[in-house]
Amino acid sequence: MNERELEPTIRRILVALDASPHSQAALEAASELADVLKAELVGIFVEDVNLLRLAGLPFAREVGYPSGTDRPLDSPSMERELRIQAEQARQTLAGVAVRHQIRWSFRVVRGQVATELLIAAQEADLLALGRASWASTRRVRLGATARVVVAQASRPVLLLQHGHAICQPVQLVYDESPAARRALATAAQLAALTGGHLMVMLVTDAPESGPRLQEEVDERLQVPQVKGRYRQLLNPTAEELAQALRMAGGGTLIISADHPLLEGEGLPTLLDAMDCSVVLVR
Amino acid sequence: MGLVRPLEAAALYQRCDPMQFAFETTADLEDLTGVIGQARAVEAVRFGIGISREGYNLFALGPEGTGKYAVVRRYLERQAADRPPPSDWCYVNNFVEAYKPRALRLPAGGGSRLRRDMERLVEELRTAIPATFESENYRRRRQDIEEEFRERQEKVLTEIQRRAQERGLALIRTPMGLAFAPTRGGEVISPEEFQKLPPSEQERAQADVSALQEELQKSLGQMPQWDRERRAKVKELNQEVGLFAVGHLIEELRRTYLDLPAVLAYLTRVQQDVIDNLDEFLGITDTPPAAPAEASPPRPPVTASFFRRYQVNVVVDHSGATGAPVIYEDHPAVQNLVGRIEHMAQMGTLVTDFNLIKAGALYRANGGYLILDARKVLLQPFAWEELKRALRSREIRIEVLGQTLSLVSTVSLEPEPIPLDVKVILLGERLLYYTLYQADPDFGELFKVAADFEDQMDRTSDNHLLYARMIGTIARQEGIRPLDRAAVTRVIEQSARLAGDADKLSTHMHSVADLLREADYWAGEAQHPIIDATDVQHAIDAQIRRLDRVRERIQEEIQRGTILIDTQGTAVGQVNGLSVLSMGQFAFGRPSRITARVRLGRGEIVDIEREVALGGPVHSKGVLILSAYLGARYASDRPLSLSASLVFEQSYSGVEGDSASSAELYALLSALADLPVKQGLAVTGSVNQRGQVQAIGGVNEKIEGFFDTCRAQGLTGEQGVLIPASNVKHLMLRHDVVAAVAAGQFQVYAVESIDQGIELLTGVPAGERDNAGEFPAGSVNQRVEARLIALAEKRLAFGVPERGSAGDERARA
Repeated sequence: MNERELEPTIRRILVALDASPHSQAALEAASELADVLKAELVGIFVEDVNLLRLAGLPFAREVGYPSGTDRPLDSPSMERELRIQAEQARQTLAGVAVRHQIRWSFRVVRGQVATELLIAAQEADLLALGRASWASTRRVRLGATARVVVAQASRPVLLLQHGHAICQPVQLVYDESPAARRALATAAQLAALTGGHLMVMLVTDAPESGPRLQEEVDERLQVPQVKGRYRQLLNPTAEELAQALRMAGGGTLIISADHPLLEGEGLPTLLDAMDCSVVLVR
Repeated sequence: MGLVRPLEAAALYQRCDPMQFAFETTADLEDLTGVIGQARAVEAVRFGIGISREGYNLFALGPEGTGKYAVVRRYLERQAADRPPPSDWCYVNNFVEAYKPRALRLPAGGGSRLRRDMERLVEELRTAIPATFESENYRRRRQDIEEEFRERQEKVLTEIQRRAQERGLALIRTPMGLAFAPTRGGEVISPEEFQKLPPSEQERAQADVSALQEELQKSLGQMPQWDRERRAKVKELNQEVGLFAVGHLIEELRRTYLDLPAVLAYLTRVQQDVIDNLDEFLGITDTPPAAPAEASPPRPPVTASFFRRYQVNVVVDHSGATGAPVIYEDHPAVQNLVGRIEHMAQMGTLVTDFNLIKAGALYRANGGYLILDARKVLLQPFAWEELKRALRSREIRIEVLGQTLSLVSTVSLEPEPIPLDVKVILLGERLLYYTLYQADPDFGELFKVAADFEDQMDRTSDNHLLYARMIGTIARQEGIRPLDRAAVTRVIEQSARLAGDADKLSTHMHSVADLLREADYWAGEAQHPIIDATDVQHAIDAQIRRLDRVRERIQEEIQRGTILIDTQGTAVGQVNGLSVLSMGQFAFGRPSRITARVRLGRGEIVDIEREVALGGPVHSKGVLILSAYLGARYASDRPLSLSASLVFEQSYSGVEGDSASSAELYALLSALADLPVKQGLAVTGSVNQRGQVQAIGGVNEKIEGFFDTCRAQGLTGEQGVLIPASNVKHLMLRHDVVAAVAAGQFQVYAVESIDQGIELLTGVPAGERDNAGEFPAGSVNQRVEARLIALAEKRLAFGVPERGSAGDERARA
């Protein structure tokens, strides 16, 4: 890894906005990251076409949550509601961006939320979104939109939860896959910019492959500003990995998006165990 | 009857013989521990302090400067040292009714111990509670509860979602809630497509949606109940965990207060309160987490003030005390006497709590003694009433004055009253005592012991020695030079002069101490290592000199003839009277010319002072006695047919007292007898109806005043003053007067009766009735009688009838 590779490759961060408190926290965290990486923040608000269709149905009604009151729905008021939300999102973004002194832009699109986000992500280097838009119940451990985006995105995804985007030490899950090498690059970059500490979790299936992996990381990680620490985990479950991460300080986690540990409920489990955000690298 | 002889010089001044003292200077003398000359008061003080019954509070009455405070303080301290130190008192939070702080009684020193213990406890709790709640055990149990709730919610929503899916519907989140919509291929069907569906399908979808909506509503209806259950469970868990964290710490504390049930009860309440307020210890506040927007205002530091509720306000702290307290409150305003409740400004409002209760003197003196200045207490609004109320009800109750008077209306407190056991000693003037006794019905009930301080003591040789020791004691205490024997005698003589009595000594210690201090100053000026008699004399002279401007002016005006006073020659119907002017702490005598004119009349003696209301009642009484004396002595069997007028010449302000009544009588007799009076003599003394001359006050000042005038106009050897014989014992005259008398330049005559006086003044015998009832021819009395007879006959000759009967006659005619 040379100096050139260390230059920020993330120049545009796309942040998905809606009116939920969770999304505001995500925005705050994303702008922190944008600040560190000197990247541009692109806010996107998707007017959910499902909602508009629903409002257009002749019998459309909604049940207030959690009050349980029954209310009729109609298209004009739904349009108005979405416009208001979009405007709120824009103002919030503007306020945060000015505070962090970062470049920003904002746009509104209409369509299926996940689809639109994936399309928009094509033009960005990183997609930041909240793990679930409905924070009040925490019923959904990983929102439907987030699930789709994580599964299909071609770009790195920053999954945000309440708390900060970047916490130290930056943590990396490293194995023998090529994706892990890409993750290492991102992690090294982030660590170099935020204090120089990198915690590497060496995930192996045999005890003897640990030193080799560490050597490999050392070799690739020839960045004077970054100091690596290592821990070897032998065939860990998601819970075991989560615990190891928590014990190591619970910093921002960098992991390749298709890591086998994330399958099923692995990702939500990791998220639950941590206060900080997770970057899924492809 | 022989002419009255002038008094010997020795009678004019009671010397104190230095030879009676064995010491050289006061440095040789032992300190005096008690006070002198106050046997009665000391007895009363000892009794008042010793007796412990309700209402036996003490009032020490007497003039300022007689040592009331010193005596009271000394006996109180002696008594207090033998008594145990009283309890400490604390105010603590009332966890049920915060505006009624509770009082806690602890043995001496226990108050500050409890305060420290509570401070430590709170500190420990603030670390122990968060530690317990951060433990893995708690975390897991808490998560279990939350998880259970979430699962219940999820189960319901998942169930509904499943049922919706069965019917080809999706559960969709709207900005405000949840809704159902028919889907196709994972997307909500658009209205246009919906319209294209067969009507039966449309109707079915619609029916399904409304059925599911109803179901959803019903399910959501349960959620508040579940949420309540969840919160109850969390609370229960918190309390259980909290008790675990708090219990052993408080139990540890309780073990050290086993003998104090009130403290144990307090600690139990503290424990309950801590468990009820765990959030405060965990740093959790009730407000929802604010949005990260910068607009949210900074929260006031409520948590810092929250822990005030566990503080202990030690209002009475006797730690380290060895006896009962003796408190003197110099400024007995209600808030200093009883106590006050302070306020703090917080976010623009005034707030208070039990920590801001400040105890007054009654709290501090509780179980001991409280000394107060009666005048100061009476001058402070409501202080007297509050003091009485506390003594009567035997409890201290702080009331906020502003609140009572509706002057302020902020939140205030009603601290729990505490029982009062105190002996109050009031110090005050006699007038105050008598006035209170008369005007305030409670006073007699509450202040049953009066300690009456004397202003004089007998001048015996024993007392001389005691006085000398007292002078020595003051000198030592004040750090001034010792006095030699002669100086001591001079001080003692001056003390007799202060008492206004040759046989008495003043007990006004302030004056004596002032004289000693000033004498010390003059000794320093003169570079005397020991104060001698000249220094004392210097101090006395300087005191007078500083104050006698008015006297000097008056003497000067006499000299210049503005004020008409003759000290030589004779005049008819004109006598030199003497009056005393008091100017603050200095009194001096001045001569006044008294004149009388007589003419035919109907027996009235007109006192001009009285006519113009310049004479006081006692003065008028003296004049009325004159006419009674005149009538009875000279005209008992015929009408008194004169009209006389008496006047104090050149007197422009009021005249009071009857000490000039003998002078007025002499003037009147002189006018009636047409005999000139020697102007070299001045007269003082009151007279009674029988012609006896009676004692008056200020005799020394009066003699000196006339002496000064005579000396200025030239001493002839014929000059002098007539004083009542009963005043001779009061003579302590100035040295220059005594010297002039010894040299025969000035005389003082002690007169017992008017006859003696008139003989001296006119040089003509007064005369006594012989067996035939006649006065000797040529005597003063004979001439007076003859004049009165002549006036009566003249009146008869005029035939002036009584006014009333003349009118009647005219009416008949």
